[in-house]
Amino acid sequence: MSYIKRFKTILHHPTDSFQEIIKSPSFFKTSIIIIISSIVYTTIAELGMFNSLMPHFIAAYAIMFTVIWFLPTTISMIFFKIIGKKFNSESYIEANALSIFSILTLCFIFFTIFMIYSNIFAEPKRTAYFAMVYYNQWYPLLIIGIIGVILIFHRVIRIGQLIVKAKIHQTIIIWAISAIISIYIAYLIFRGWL
Amino acid sequence: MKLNFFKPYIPTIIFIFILIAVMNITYVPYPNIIRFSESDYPNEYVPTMIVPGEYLKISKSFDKVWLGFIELKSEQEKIKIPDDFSPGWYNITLQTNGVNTTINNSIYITPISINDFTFIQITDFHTDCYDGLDLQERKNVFNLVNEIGPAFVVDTGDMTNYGLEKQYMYYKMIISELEMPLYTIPGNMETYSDPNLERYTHFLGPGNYYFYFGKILFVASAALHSPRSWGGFDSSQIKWVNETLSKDSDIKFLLNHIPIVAEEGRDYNFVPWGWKEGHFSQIEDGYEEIVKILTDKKVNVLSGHWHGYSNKFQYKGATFYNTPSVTRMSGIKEGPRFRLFQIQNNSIIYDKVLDVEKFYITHQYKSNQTQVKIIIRNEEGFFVPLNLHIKLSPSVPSYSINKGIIIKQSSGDIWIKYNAPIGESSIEVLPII
Repeated sequence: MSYIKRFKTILHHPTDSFQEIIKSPSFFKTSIIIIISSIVYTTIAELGMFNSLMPHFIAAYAIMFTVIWFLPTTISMIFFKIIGKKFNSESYIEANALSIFSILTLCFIFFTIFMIYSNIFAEPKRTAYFAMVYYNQWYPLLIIGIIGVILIFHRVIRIGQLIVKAKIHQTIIIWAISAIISIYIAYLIFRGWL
Repeated sequence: MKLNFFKPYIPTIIFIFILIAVMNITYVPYPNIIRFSESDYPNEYVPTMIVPGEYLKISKSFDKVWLGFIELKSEQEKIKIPDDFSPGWYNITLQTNGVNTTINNSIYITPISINDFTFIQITDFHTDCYDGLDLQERKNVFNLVNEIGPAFVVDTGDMTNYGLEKQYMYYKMIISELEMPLYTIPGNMETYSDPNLERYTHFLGPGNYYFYFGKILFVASAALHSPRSWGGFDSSQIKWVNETLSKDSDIKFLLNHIPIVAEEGRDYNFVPWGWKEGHFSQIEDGYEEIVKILTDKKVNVLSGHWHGYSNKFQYKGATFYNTPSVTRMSGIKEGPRFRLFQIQNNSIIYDKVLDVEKFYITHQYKSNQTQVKIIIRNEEGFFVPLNLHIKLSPSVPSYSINKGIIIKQSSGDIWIKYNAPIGESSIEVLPII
């Protein structure tokens, strides 16, 4: 299986991707792809949200985008190690990063469609930020977000079984704690800084 | 071996460091340091309001002075505005050593008494990049402001969505229809695409200045941390605010977009460093110094920023008004809102938040603009003090009204003071024959 196969199957057959990652982990390569995509996503999002490119906000949203997958993955890995699980850290981080990132990509595609609609076809036309924050148009994105969270939880449980060899309830508890800590840190970046 | 262990994580760690560096490089802790002092008045950005019969103080040296085209006599850097001067906007021309300097629209002769007046605080206007219904909704807000007829309007920031040129142009277009002076300060949104507030200064002038209405002092302060939604006062800003608030006055107001003291933190509630002595503040730097100044001088502070939040909070003698936004807010039923103040004999006797969609004024003109019926529908749940400005035919020398008080008549322009009760009421203006 070539390296790129792990990307091809991550959405519809995530287990195949995880098996490939277990065989030949390559977080270095995967993280570079995620980083480049993050820059592209945040730049496009910035344009649709504000009709303008502002370096401070591109960096801030890219940090948020990175925090969303990097923090809970790292925190949950530490917790699994604390409870005595022995597994390959690189495989674990890469599998989780790829899972979360693929779902975030789907959400981003939906968000891009929303931005194009809002800025070009809607009446009245509104920048995406304006439409969501001031005119109640965030519900579709919330639904996509909830579906995304469910899909991510499904994948982290599979990763817990395949890579960590953890029981389902252990994965759920550890990921719930990791998610709460990460959400609070993301909140502090979003509200405490921005 | 150790390097190999860290190798997979190097790109992510470097990326995070680069992002933090970009955020720090693009962070401007204290934008817009332009601060007006006494020698900057009169100027075209901060109009001076004056009542006929009062003295206008001019700190610039001059030999002769004209208001509009009328030359006025000066008495030791002061000029007396004649009692018969018509209300409105005036250019002032100062002659020094034979050279004339004209400052456009720098003087506003107000028809409203300095002992009994209203003013409006609007905030968080959020003009977007597009024309259409959203822009029309904002025009309607200023149409109603014109109808209510306050002595002046203060806008406590976030007049644009991200400080873009097109948004300023739309905002300027909307405010051009305002009859009375408007005083603005920048909010955090203005710093989003304009971290040093150069665009704001170009379109709307300085961020730090002061003005008077009678003996009431208003100090405008731009204490922002660009482009963040938190604010702060550095030592020079604290010094300027302290000196400016120390000017002789009966009541003092400070205009600052970011809430300095608030009862709660809204969606910032879980940011631990926002909590200070049992209340919330979004001021990071200079918090203790500025609160001491405000409480010592018993200042009334007007803020916005939190959109859906309407609150009046008293703390150690100072009063902190947080006014809800003109822009709608997801999840909030009310329409565009603003706060109306009434000041009588140097006391604030009225401060209410009005919902634009609950107050309507219509005019029915008859007989070649020599009669008018003004119909007022007030669904706010409280009375609303109005200074109605009616433009009727100047061919009729004098008019009478069936309700309210005529405070001024000037060739067809009539100003009527009237407290609009809850429900529907009407005023008829008829010619005296």
